[in-house]
Amino acid sequence: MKKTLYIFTLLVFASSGIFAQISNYISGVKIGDAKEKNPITVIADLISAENISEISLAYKPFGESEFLKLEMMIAGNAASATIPLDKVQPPYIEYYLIINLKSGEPQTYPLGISEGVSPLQISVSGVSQKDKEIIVLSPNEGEALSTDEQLISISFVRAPESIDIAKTKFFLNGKDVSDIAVVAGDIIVLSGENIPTDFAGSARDLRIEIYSKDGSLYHTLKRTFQVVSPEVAAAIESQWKYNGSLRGESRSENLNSVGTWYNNATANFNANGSGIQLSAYGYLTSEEKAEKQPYNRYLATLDAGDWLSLKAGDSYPRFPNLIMEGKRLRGFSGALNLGFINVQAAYGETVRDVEGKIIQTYSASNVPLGSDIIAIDKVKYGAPFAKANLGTYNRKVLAVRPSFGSGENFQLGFSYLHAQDEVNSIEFGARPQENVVVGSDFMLAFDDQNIMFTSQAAVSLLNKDISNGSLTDAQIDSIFTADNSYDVNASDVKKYRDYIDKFITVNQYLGPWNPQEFASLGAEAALSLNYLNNNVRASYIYRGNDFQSFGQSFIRTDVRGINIVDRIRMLDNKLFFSFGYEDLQDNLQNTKIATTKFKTISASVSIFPRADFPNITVGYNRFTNSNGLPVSHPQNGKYAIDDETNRILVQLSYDFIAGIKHSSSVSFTTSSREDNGAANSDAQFNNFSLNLNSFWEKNLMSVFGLVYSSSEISGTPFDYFTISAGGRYRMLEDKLTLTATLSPSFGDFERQALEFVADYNVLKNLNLAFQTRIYRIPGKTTNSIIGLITRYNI
Amino acid sequence: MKRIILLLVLVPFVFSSVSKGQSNSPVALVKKIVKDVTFKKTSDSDWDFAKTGTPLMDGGLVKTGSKSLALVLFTEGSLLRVRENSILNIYGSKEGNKVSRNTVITKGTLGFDVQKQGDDEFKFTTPTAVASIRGTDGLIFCDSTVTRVFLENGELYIESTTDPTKNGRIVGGEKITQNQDGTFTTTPLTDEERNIITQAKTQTTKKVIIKTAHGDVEIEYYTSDQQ
Repeated sequence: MKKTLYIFTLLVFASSGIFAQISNYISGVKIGDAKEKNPITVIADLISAENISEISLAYKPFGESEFLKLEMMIAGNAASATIPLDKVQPPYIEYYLIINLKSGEPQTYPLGISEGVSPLQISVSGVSQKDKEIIVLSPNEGEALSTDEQLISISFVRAPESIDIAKTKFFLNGKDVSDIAVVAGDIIVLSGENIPTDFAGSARDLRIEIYSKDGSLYHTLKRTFQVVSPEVAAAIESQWKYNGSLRGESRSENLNSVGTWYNNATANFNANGSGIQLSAYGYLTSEEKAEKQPYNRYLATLDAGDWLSLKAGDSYPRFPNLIMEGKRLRGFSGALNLGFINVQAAYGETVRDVEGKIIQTYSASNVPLGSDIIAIDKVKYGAPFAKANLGTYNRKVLAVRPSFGSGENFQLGFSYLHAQDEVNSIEFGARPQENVVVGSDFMLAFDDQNIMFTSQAAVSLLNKDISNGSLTDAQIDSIFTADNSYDVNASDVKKYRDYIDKFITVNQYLGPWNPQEFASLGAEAALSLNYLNNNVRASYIYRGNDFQSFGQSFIRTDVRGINIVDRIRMLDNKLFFSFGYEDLQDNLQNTKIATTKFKTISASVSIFPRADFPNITVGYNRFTNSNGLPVSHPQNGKYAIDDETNRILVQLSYDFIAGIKHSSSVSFTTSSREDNGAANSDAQFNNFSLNLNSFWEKNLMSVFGLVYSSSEISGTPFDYFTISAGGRYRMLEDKLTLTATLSPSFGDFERQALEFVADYNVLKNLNLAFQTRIYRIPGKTTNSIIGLITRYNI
Repeated sequence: MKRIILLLVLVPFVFSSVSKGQSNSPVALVKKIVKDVTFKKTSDSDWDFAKTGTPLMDGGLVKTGSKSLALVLFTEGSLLRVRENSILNIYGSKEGNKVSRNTVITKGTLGFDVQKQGDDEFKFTTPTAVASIRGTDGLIFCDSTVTRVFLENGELYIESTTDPTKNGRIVGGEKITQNQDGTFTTTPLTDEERNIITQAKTQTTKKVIIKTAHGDVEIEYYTSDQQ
C-alpha cells in the first residue's frame, strides 16, 4: 500500500533524467547524476540548431548571489556544458539556459525567466559517511585485473561496531559469490582462482552489501572493473593506453517548409601512460561559415600529473571569476604547478573577425547621425560615409596568473588580463575596444580547510573606442593649453599617457572617469566554517558599475552586499537543512535615480534516505526588490520598483518495485510575484511534472511523463499540458536498440512531438544510429529532423 | 654497523609501540606480486611465497628479490610499492578510530601513497631516520647510511633516529636528503626526479620464456632503470 501510494503521490526530479519544458529550440535537457563534489554535465537537445548562435547555461548553487554562466558547446543537435565540481553542493542547483538566436533575439529555457517563470532545479545528494567507513581496497574503479591476479577486498577498519562483517554479500555481474569470501579480522578477501571466470565478456559489475548486526542492510557499494588475460593486463600496465572515436552525422531539418542539410564529424582521441595524458578533439560542421562566429571546435591537451596542463585550441580557461571564467578561447592555455610557485596563462581569440556590409553610402553633406554610420574609403566606394551592418572585430585576450602556495592551506595569486579588438581585422566596423583587468586573490585555510578565508579584488580599465589610437602630443597640447581651466600641465599628461599607453590605449574613451568612487572595482571576501555538521559561509561582494572583464561576459555589476548560507548535515548526510540570506543593493556610484535593495531569503529541507523511501526536497525562496520610489511620484514614479516573489518547490524521487522495477520522479513549483512598482508585472507560475521509468524486462523499458504548467504574467494566462509516453527495446542480442517517444501538448501550447531512434551495433566498435523527430503544430506546420549517425571506436 | 645495531634495537621498540591493542586482524594484504616475493607472518616464522590476497599481520615482513615487486595494500587504503631487493617490516594497531601504521625498511626503495585521516599515524622507519607523513605520495630510498625522500604531494616530517633535533619538513614537489652527519637538506624535485616518481607508479614487467625439455618456463620480472 505504501508503494502504491508513492507511485501516485510522490515526485521527484530523478538524479538522472530527461526534463522537457516548452521551447521552439530545445526539446529536452539531460542531466547526469548529481552528487556532491561531482561535476554535472547538462546536455540540451536542440530542435533547430541553425537558428541558434550561442547557448549558455546559467546556474546558481543554493543561497548564492547570482547565476553563473557557462558557454555551452554546440555539437550537432546537442549543446553541453559541465558544472564544475566545486559548485555542486546540496540541496540543489537552480539553472536555466540562455539561447541567443541568430536573429539577435534572446530566449530562455524554460521560456520567460525574466518575466518571472521559475528556473529548473537539480537535486544534489550528499556524500555518505559510510563510503569512508567501508573501504574497498581492491579493485579500483575501472581497474583491469588479470585472471590470475583477481583480488576483491574490503576493509572494515573504520567501520562502526554495529556492522556484522560475516554477513557481507558479494555479487559479481549479479551472481552471488559470497561463499568464496574469506573473512580475516577487519578485512574480507576474495582472490585468485576462487573467483568465477565464467562470465560473458571482460566487464565485471561488483556489488557489495554490508549488513548491520540486526540484519538490516547498512550500505551498498559498487565497483566496475575488467578481467583480462595476464598478457593483456601486462600490456595495459606497461604500455600507453589509448582510445578514441570517430563520429559522422548527416541530418536534414525541415522547419517551416524550409529544408536544410547538416553534416558534421567528430573525432576524439585519448592516450595516457607514464603519468602523461594526451587528448585531442575535433568537431567539423557544415554550419561553419566565415560570416559567423566559429562552430568548428578543435582541442589538444597534455596533462602531466597535477603539475602541468597545456591546452591548444578551443578551451574555457578558469581564472578567478572576476578575471576570466566560462569564456571560450581559441588559442593556448595552461598551468604549471610547482608546489609553492605556480603559473597559469591563456592567450588566444575570444571573438572572430566577421566583416560587415555596406547598406547605403552618403556624401559628407547628407550623412545622417547614427551608431551604424561609419567612415569608408571614398576612393574605393565613391562616398566618404556609409550606413553598414557592422562587423565584429577579432578580439585577442591574454591572461596570466602567477600564484604562490599550493592552495591546500594558502595561496596568493595575482592576475593580469589584456583584451583588445584588432582594429584592422575588418573594414566595416565601429568602436573597437580594449580592456585591462588587474587583480589579486588570496586563500587561507586551517584545520583541513574547515576554516577557510578567500578573497579577490580586481580593477578594470575599458577603452570603448581605440580606432584612432592614443591621444597625440598635438591633441594634448590643444586641450591642456596654458590658459585652460583644467589646471593640468600638458607635459604631465603626456608623461602619464606614455606610461599608461604601455598597457591600454589612452584617449577620451578610456574609463572609468571616476576611479576614486571605485566604479571599476570588483571585490569579494568569504569566510567558511565547517564544524558541528554546519557549513556556514558568509561573504561580501562589491562590483562597481563600470567593472568589466572581456574574459567574463556575464558578471553582475553595480551591486554590493552580504550573503550568508548555512548547510546543516544530519543523519550521515541523509538530512539537510539549508538557510540563506542575502542583502544587496545597487546604485553604488549614484548613476541611478534611486537605490534598489534586493533581499532574498532561502530555506530548504532535503531527505536522501538511501533506503526504501523517496528522496525529498522542499524549498522556499522569498525575493523582495524595492527602490523606495512611490509609483505616484509625478516625475520618478515610472522608475518605482517594489515587488515581492514567493516560490515554493517540492521534489520527490523514488525507485521502487511494484511487480517490476520503477524509477519515478515528481516535482512541483509554485511562485507568485506581487509587483506594486511601475511595471505592475504581477506573475503567477505553477508547474507540475512527473516521470516514471519502468523496467519491464532486460530488453524493455518504458517512459511516461506528465507536465502541467499554468502561468499568468501581467494578466496574460498561459496554460498547457504535456503527456510523454515511450519506450526502449533491445533486440538481436542487444545489437539493435529501438527508442520511441510521443509527446503531445495541449492548451495554449499545442504541439505533437514524435521521436524515434534506431541504434545498431554493426560491429563491436562500429555503430549506426538513425534519428527522426517530427513536430506537428496543428493548423500551422509540420517540422522534421532526420539524421544518420555513424560512430567508430578505436 | 652502529646504525644496524640501532635498527635492531629500534625494531622491537617500534613493534611494541604500535602493537598496543593489536588483534588477529591483518594490517595489510598483498595486492600484486611480480617474480620473487616472499613474506613472514611474524619475525619468528619462516619465509613463504606470497600470493595475491595474502594477508599481512602486525609484525609481518615482505621481501622482494632481484627484478621483483610487491604492492602492499594497508587496510585503511594506503598503498606501498616495495621495489626490488627490499625488506619491509609491517606494524599496525588500531585504538578507537585512530589507526597507526609503521613500516621499517632496512634497505631498498619504497613507493608510498598514504591515505591518512584525522588522528591516523603513518610512519616509515629506516636505519637512519623516522618519517611521519600525512595524506601524501612519493618515494623513499634508504640503505644503512642514508635516507632520501622524493615527495610528490602532501607533507612529510622526518627526523634522525639518533638525534631528533636533526629534522626536516618538506611539502609536495620537494625532496629531502639526509647527510652523513644526520642533518637534512631540502631541495626542489628536478624533472628527472618527478619522472622517477611517475615511473615508480607503473608496474612495468617483462617476461622471459625458457624452453626446456619438460616444457616452457615463464619468468616474469619487474623492470626499472631508476635507482
